[in-house]
Amino acid sequence: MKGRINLSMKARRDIVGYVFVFPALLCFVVFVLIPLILSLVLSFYKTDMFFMDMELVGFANFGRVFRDTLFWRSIGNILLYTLMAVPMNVILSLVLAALVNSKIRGSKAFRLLFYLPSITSTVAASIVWLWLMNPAYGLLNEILNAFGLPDATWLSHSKTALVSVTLITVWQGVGGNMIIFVAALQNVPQQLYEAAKLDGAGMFTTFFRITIPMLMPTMYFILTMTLIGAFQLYDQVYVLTSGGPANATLTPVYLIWQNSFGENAGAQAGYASAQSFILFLLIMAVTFVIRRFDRDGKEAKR
Amino acid sequence: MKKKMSCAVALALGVTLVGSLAGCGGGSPDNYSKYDKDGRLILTIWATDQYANADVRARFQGYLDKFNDTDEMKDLGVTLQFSPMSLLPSTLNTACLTGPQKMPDIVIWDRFSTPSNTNILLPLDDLIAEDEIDKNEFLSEAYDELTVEGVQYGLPLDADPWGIYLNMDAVNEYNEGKAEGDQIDPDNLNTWSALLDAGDKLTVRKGNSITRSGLNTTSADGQFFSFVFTGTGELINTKAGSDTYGDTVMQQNGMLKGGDGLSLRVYDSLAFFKELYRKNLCDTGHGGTDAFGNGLCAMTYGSIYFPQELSKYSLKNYKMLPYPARDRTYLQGETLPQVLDASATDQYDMQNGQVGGMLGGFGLAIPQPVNKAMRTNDWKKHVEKSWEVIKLWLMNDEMNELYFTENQSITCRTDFWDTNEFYTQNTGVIGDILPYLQNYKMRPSVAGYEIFESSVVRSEIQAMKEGNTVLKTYENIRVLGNEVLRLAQGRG
Repeated sequence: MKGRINLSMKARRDIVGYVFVFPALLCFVVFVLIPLILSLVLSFYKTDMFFMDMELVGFANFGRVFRDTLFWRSIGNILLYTLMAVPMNVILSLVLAALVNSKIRGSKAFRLLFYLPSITSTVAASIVWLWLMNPAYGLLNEILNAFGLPDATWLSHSKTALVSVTLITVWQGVGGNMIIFVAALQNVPQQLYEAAKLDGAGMFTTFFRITIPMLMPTMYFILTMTLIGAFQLYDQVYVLTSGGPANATLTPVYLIWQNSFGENAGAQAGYASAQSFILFLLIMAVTFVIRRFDRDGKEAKR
Repeated sequence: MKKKMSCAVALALGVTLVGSLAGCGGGSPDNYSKYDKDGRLILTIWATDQYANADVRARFQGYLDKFNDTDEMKDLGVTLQFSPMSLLPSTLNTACLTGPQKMPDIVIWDRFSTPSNTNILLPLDDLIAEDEIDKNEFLSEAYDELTVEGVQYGLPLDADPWGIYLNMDAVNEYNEGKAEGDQIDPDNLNTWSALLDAGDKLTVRKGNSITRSGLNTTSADGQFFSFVFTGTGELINTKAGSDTYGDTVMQQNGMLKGGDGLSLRVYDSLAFFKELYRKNLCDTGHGGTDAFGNGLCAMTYGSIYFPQELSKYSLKNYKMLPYPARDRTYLQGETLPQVLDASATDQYDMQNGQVGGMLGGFGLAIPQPVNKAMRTNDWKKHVEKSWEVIKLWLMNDEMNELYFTENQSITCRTDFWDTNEFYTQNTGVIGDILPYLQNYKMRPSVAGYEIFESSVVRSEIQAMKEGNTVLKTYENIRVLGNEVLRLAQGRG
């Protein structure tokens, strides 16, 4: 036919692929890559959020980050939070996935129930938790009292605030990971379980010798994503504690937000960008370590 | 067929995405004016999400309807349309980056946010000079809060003093049957000692628990600035041109004897707070509006607009007090700095404070596009009309009265306070606080103040409440405070 371009099968397949990838790629470029590059450029300047009166200061902003006590306090908080939240989230979501994946009655209903917090607005859920943890009126203290236990301070004391925030974020994050684990569990070949059963393996042996090894790629994926999410903790802190009490829940992202957009923040957009970049590098480093473990594990299996 | 369909769907998604991104900057800055059915130019006005509260919004809209309906507004040929905006400084920043077609014409502006937002607010000095507006007609603290480096970015709309709300039912209940000397005198709760004493008397205990808190101490850390001020101290050096401008005024412990005593008074205020916490006047759950409105807390803190929040509670009998004055030093025993003996405090006048507190409030400002190329003739026409509206609203006596009576607020035009019946005959909280208003102070408007207050001062006071000593708290605020302030001001 005249005017028709003859494309090879491969070229046609490639074009279809690019068309499908295009929207995601565009979003990535516009919302991730360009801001990332701009943020890096900005970190070498002293400027406000309008980028007016930009003054090139070289690495001065990065130097300041290392002298900023509050920033390192927030890093300390987030490391502690990560140590508590990530294992709790991964283990709990795996256990829940194993439970709702079993052929017990009502498992689908439980799957839905466990998943619900993940699709609830973080702000709305956090406000509900604020009330549940209210030291005077809160339901949680009422329950403690019913068992003869004293009131807990929950979010109102520096010693318990971070733990309370951790419990809330785990409650909200566990459902999403559970669904991913369920999908992975359903991909484990049934023959493996049947063979193990014939060999006389018990429930725990099957779980630790078949299920866990087969879930390792998913586990690494969830671990990486949960870890990145943990380092970026912000919205719950914003609603629940505003970084308090006594800076016990101050997180790097909350501090970066305060420096960029807080009232009377001053010309700190460049400095906040430098803080963001240090955080980015930290997350990259941790992700790299996990990937390394993942790769080493795969190589060891070969 | 299936493949073609998939391609078409993906393409459509891509086009939609590109289209919607392109649509972000829709509209033209050259010709964006809109008119109502009578041909009057529509000017938009934004306010903080405080105005999103149904009662506040209804009240303000009621005022706007009346204002729009005046002959003066009709003669101007404009009408005002209002919308509350959440996260106002950030939202306005985005609008001002986009262009005048997305911006409001007038903004009810939180004065405290002025220093960090001078790029988006139109300097009004030329207009003020042209119309010979006298700054002395306004409450000076409020007017100056809209001034940054000598440039005026708005005119003050209202004065929003904070104070202590006292549940009068609880006071009457306590006073019943008591000898006069033992009673709480609500008209004389004007010293730190009297406040502590009243808090103690109003606290009702049952075993180890508190069933009614005498004084809200759970959020007292947020009131520290007010107490420092009523103790005649200062937290930050705001003297322009001084070497340490923008630093805390706090001197090292070893130097507390020197200087002008400002830092010693901050130290004294911390010692007072330690005493406040030591007295255990408040259950941890009695800090909010609910507790005060439901009679679980007899004294709490609030602004002049607090009654709008209280209107939904059964509590109707309450009074607003200014923050009381320091009447003695709390520097003694464990709270006395090592280098200081008790007698040395005399030279710093540690006995006589000043009743007052912290002043908040709004101003009227005109936003401007960040990009100068977007300051089009159409926008300039809007600016001209907006300025006329602001003048009418604030400088025309009849219109100003319409605003403050409809909104139950305190105008910054001080001449009204002694002459207008709304103020001279006021028996509500406005009447309670007005005699003390000249003593009120704005928060220091230096870059970094918010982080200094929230992440340093309040945090360290919370840590002191949990056990830290006064000296440690003082030193942490001094060291970390200076670090945070210098970083924010680009001096770190």
